[in-house]
Amino acid sequence: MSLLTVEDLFVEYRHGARRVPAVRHVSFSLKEGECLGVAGESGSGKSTLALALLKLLPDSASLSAQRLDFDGRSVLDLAPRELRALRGGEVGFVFQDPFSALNPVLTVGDQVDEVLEWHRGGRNRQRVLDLFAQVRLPDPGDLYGAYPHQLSGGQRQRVCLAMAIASNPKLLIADEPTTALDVTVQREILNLLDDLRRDVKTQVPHPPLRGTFPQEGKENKEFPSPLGRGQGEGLAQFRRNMKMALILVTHNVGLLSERSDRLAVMYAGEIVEIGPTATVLSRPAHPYTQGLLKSLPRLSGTDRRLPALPGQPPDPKELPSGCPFRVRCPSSFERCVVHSPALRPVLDGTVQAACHLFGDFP
Amino acid sequence: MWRFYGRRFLANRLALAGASVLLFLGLAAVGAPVLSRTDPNQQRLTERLMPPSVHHLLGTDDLGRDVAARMLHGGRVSLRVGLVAVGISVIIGTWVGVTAGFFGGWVDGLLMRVVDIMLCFPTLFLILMVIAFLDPSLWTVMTVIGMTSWPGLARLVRGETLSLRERDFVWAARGLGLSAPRIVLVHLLPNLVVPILVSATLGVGSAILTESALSFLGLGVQPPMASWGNILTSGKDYLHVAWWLSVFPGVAILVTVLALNLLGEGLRDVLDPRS
Repeated sequence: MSLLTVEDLFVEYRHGARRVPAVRHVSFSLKEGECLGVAGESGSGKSTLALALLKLLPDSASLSAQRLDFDGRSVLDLAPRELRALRGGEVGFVFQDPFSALNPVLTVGDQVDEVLEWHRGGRNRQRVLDLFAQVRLPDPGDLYGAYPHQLSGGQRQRVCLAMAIASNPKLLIADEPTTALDVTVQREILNLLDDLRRDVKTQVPHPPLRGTFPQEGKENKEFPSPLGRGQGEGLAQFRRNMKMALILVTHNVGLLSERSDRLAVMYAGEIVEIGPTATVLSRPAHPYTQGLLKSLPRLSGTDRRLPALPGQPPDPKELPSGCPFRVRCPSSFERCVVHSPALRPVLDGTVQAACHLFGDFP
Repeated sequence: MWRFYGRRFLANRLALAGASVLLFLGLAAVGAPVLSRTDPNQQRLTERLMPPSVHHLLGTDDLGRDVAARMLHGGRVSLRVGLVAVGISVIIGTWVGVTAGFFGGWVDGLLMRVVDIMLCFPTLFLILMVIAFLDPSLWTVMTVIGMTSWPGLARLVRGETLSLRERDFVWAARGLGLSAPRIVLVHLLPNLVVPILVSATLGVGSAILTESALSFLGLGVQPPMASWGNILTSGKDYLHVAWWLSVFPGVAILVTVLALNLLGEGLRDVLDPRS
């Protein structure tokens, strides 16, 4: 059964008197426990899509869709109260920039506890410490009372993750969760996401790394590390509960190659190609995906200058007629100017692409 | 966190000086009944307009009352007016500012037009008008000063709220399903404490000044109750024969307001994370 079904989703921003489309004709579905990667350039609408799934849009945006169903309920028809229960309850959200996604004047433990209080009916310090251990923060006991500015970027993103998974969501939406981080930390966070998502029972949390936390190097006697008694039990139960689907939004296709089950490529607010990650990456169907993959640097590559896609992504205020990619497309033809292509099965049928090259029109 | 701010505060000499003076004044005001056993309203017509001496430290006034005792009790009144008026103004100003900034739209438009209208009036004139219709008493003065001094704070809070509202952590809180009142309470207000605190400290000074001005004009605290403002008033007629009657309350007002301003500016420097 599919967890999330999106059909013909539109998001428009009011820009003065005009309406500027940011997301157009987006349809996809997500199975329970599945990981969907969403890739695209800046401005392709991928972040707006991620936010729109939770109706988390500014007042200037308007959202419409044929269907936007999460777990059998229509998100569009939810009362504000039900919507709030969904956000942070059944669907977790991780923002791009961990430096600004935490409140600077509250301790991180307090902020996670706040989510528990809101969604789980009460504060629970032990649960917060469990969550900190779960996201592999060193010395959870010490970190509880730390302020965001005392943490590194990676640690902050872990705290954000702890908040997002605090109430065992069925779906986690991560909007470029690693973009603001160092490359080495990126990998750790992505591995962590994998572990959180999969039902790994053998995985033991890393031992606390003493002294890595940039606070004055004193032991906190009052709040010892929670990795003692009772900890394993809570973690095991936590892991059993976890069977989380993931929507991972990024502009870095390389990150997705090893991790996502399916990959959606967005261009000018539309999904232009969607299918199993391995297939899309090895046999890209849409000319845009092909161009995108060709422009990726490879370790085994030669010194050759990387081929770049000519031109710029179209201004959403002035989209070209027909296919939005046609002006940059090496293989566009007359039909592309007139008709906008819809997603259709291509190749072996597991991949869908929106391109007239695969059309069987007369 | 607080230790960090404590250290920065101690390093800021002006703020420290302001705080010390205020601590001294506060203790004097609280301990007034103990410090001076003389009744501030006790008239001794045989001892009119006596210059400062061992017997009367700051001299006596035109009715033979001890100026030192009146200053101490007047200080209680002045500080109380300052604190209560600012309390009222902080409550109204914060509420209006947060509501306007967070909800925006027509709510914002309406509230800010009210603020604009309030700011159009010269405040003192407005207060005089209101008090002219009401019975001038200590509570009237405090309430009216509080009710007229909030628009500036409301503007400040609205501005801060507008910028906080678009910060990622507020969006993240929305993404975590928190309701609007909850976001205001948990995420906005703690971030507004510093600007409000700074503005309130400066506000106490200006409230004390306003009260003094009102009392000086005879529409503030009514005699025989002492306040620095009305001691100053009664002194003005005897300026050429009894300088102590005007100078001491004047200096007291000056020093208090100066100390409050120093403290307010100091707090701003100390608590501003950007400095």
